Amino acid sequence: MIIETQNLTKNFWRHDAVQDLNLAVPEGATCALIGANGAGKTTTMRMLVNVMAPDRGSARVLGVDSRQLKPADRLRIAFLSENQELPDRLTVAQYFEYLTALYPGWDGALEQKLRAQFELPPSRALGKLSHGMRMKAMLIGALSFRPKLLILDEPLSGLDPLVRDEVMSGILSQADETTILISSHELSEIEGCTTHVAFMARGRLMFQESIEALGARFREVIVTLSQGPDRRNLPETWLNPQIDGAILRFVDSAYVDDAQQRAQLQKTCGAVLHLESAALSLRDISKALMRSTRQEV
Amino acid sequence: MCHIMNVTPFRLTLVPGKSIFDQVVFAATRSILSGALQPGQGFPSVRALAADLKIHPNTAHKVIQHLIQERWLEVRPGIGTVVAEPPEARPGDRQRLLKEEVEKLVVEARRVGADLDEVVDAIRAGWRDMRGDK
Repeated sequence: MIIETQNLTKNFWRHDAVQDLNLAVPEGATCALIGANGAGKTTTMRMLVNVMAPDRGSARVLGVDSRQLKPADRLRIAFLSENQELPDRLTVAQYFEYLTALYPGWDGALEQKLRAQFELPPSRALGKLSHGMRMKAMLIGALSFRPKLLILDEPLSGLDPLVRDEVMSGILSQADETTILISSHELSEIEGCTTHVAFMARGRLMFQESIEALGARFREVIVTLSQGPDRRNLPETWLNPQIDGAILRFVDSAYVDDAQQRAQLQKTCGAVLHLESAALSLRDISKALMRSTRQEV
Repeated sequence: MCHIMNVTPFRLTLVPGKSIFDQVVFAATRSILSGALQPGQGFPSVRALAADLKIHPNTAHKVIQHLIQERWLEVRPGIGTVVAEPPEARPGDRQRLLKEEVEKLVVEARRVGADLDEVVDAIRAGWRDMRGDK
């Protein structure tokens, strides 16, 4: 495992930011860490790279305890986040000279290629870059030392569609050589390159599984029954049930096949007059999960 | 002369519930059968395919290996991967299409209430769209 946490926990004041998190990311995976704002994604990532110490539990990253990460280990891990601080006075060219000196494994050819592709103005100060250009500069900085592990916290947020494409193609160009943990709300953009999904809600890891397994067990269901169903009888795996007369609509999170679904419906709700069920995109699955785990106010 | 493409000559609109691998393989074979990709033409590299379709490079790699294995593509030393002549069907492929796949289509058609003429017309139209008339 490239990342493995054990009961990783962080409390802010009395609020549980991350609670008993057991996350495992295998080598070569591109793992999407998803969840609503405030679910604990950023805090988790910050603990993984030891920007923040856990209150309890531990994390191993590339086989090393996150609190024991040495400078040599840092040369193999890239962490990129929206609010990262940069040496704002340096120009783009100076920034990359600085990074070249810092990383022994710096790939100058890759840096040049990405800089040309991203059209970064070499003589502009980092502090004067637009948000999109800043993100591109940080991404080149993260990719060009060819890390073993790439941790990306919302790399696409606030970017226009063209820049999002550029950033994604930069990430994809490395995805076969490195393990990636990425948090993003731009799920339709990252779905194609995601191999695993970890879902967090209110500081807890609700599940982690391959994207194929996740896609296979979710179906949106609209069913016409012979009579209105009793909400109390519906299983918990049917997310966000909506009832309108004899029509029931929900997201099945434990779908196996059509026959089983129909049998379960008949058992809990009586005769089924009409049944429609459709697979969901990662974005729609995520929305259903967020809605079902939203804190009651 | 032949050059390896950096542009993927087909599009991919992800359909939920089907594996990305299957969807890309289907899109590629469709573009070969329709003539969008001609025999001898270069096929995109793993990186170009991954970047264009926004898929994981490992998936792109698997797709290309699969297409080579199924003889849709061939490797030309010194050039790269090019489109092959459409492969001969394996024994059983034709029977599988005519029985199982058609049965699935008929069941779906009856479910949505389409009649036989509509289905036949749609098949004809689809057949015409694939220009490689055979």
